[in-house]
Amino acid sequence: MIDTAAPRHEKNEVFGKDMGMDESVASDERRPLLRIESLKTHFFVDDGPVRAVDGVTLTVPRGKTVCIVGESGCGKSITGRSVMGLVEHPGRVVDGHIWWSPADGDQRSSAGGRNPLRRSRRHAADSDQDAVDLAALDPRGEALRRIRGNEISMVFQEPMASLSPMYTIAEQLIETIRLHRRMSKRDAYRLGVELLTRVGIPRAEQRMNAYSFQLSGGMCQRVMIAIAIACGPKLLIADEPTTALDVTTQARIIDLLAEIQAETDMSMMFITHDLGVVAQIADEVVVMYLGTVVEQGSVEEIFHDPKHPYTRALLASIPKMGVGARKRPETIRGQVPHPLNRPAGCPFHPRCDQAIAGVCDTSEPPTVELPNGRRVRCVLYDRELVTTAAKGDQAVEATSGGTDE
Amino acid sequence: MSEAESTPDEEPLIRVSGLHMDYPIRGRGLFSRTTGAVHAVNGVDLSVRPGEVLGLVGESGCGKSTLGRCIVGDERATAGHVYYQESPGHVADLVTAGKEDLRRYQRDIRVIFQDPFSSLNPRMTVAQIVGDPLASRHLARGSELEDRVAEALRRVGLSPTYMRRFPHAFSGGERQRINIARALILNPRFVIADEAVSALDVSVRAQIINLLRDLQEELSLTYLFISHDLSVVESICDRVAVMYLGKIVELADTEEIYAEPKHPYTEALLSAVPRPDPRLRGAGGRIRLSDEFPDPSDPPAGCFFHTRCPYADPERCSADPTVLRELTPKHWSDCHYSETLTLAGVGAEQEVAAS
Repeated sequence: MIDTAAPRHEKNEVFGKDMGMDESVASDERRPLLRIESLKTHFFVDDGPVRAVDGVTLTVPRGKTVCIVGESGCGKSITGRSVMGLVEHPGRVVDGHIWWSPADGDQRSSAGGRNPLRRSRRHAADSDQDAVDLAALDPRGEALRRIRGNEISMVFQEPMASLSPMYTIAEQLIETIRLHRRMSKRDAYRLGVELLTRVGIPRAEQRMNAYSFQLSGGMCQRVMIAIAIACGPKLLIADEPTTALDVTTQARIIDLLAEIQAETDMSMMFITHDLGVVAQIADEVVVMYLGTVVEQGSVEEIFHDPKHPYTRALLASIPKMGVGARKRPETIRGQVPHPLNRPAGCPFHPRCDQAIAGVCDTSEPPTVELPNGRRVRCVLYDRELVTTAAKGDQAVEATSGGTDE
Repeated sequence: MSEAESTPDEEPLIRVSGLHMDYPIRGRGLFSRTTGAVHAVNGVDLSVRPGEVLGLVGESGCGKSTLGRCIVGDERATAGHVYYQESPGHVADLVTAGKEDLRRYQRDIRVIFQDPFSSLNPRMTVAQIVGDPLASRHLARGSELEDRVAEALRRVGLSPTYMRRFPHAFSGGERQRINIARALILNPRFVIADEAVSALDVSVRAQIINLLRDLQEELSLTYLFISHDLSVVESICDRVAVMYLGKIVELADTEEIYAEPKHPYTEALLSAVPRPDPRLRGAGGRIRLSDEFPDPSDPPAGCFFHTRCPYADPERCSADPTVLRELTPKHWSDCHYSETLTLAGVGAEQEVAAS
């Protein structure tokens, strides 16, 4: 699951478990579909560069749902858009890699040929040879266009705004299908009806001739999903797909996405700010703050054993239902800083209750590997740094609890 | 007996009675005739007691915002009454009140809107925005106006030094504080918060919820808290009214409505809220409503909800109109089968997961 950075290897011995590459990969025999490495996407505005995505590393395993969660401005959407090559001017990918390996490690389509053992030995670095680096492709070029909408597709937040009001649903569906698949209009139409039925639109045949403004928000989002899955993508990037919808509709759209994913074994990168949605759909969770990944782990671990102070604070601040009326939610003090005004050191330190003066506000926090392929970007889990800081300042008792786990 | 008349012990601050708000649908052409009407609010009885926080929930299009606009007088209701208790013994009807009177009552009834990005005029400074209700009513000017603005800003946790700045310089949370300061500068008694925290980030949302609660205690405010987010509603409201297709379908104390809903629609809404705990995946009975919302210009016969209701009785529910009635003290529902249905609330399984 995790892109294990080799220099960090020795750190894992702290936790009594060797987290060498071979073992950690063995748990996931197939090579990840998507591996983002130190991605930096900056926006060059008049006031200086906005580091919207500033060194993001994450992986999307095959057939899994990875939720990217964070508050507005954390760079979660830009990460998704970078994968699609849809970053708008004045932004661009300035550094890093987006390794896309659609076929390798999983020969589902051609019978046999898959050797899990061989795959498990494979070092992360080797994958560069047969994976495509999407970050290196021209965002407007033919190569990326072939992948976009075909192997990787995307569903956006505003279904009403994503569909054109000038064309019928049929026209928009057929266009997408025929853009990527050689098919007669009649066959594409038939496939369109099938897709609409698949995404749970009743009377699909009639709805083909409808315009987007004649459909409800939930129906529009179903149409968008139908268009997105039309070419059988290997990865679906869903950017806040249910945020604009009612809870009742949201629940059904989430069910639908989970169903489609289970049926087709496609991977999903699900971008959301809603931790409730994350708990319902994620296999893996990536928590982002100000353009960086602060923590990554399985959904169970993130919710029941959060490590990073930001993740903990975020979880504490959501109102939980059924606990009784008028319970005061906990807050995170301050607010997300303006991206042009990033704090030095750890971007979260001005709001963090466990920040260590002289450490968190001066140096970038290390990314620490924890058991089960978890990663957290916080000094509290780096024993060396914590003890050095503690020598200088005895008042950091709060931190010891975290590192003993 | 209706909810509006059922509180003899205490005269409500706001009492809505038989309220209807219809929007005409016109045919094509220049001299078009009215061909129908959207019944956005379809006979609502509701009272808000002094000092309470009443939640109003429902899906988009259910008429909850329209009801709020009718109460504040932004929309003149087509029929019915909105009684406002201006002072003990003096009750005014905002639906029939003259323009002058209405403007006076509107000093006491203010609204906080949802979108902190579009509800602030980008060409006005913070001082102008917050002070506008005072200035436009010629209630204060010059240094007095400035003092009142500074006080309003301090009250919502903003520094008065922000006064000369423009809204674009502020984050979502700060803008919402500016909105709240503007709503409070006339020292209102009743505040309608229409999706006031829906557009905010999680960490900021909690701050604003707590701010609203602190202000309520400090200034003895009464709130109508309109929201589609049931988890937020639970954290701030004393009572909750559930609205569907222009009607109130259930009304009860917050704890009771969450633990023991009596209307299938409330049950469905509660079960649809994604719970922030992966161990609760699929918990809550997983009731899934179809996303086909009936046309509010042509509501179904019988119970409005029967077309989506998992418990609907094909005969009675599609024929007999429903009436909101008091099942147990202070718990109202309009479902024909509220007495016999056993519906699932939230809370029980939360404890299971915690143990």
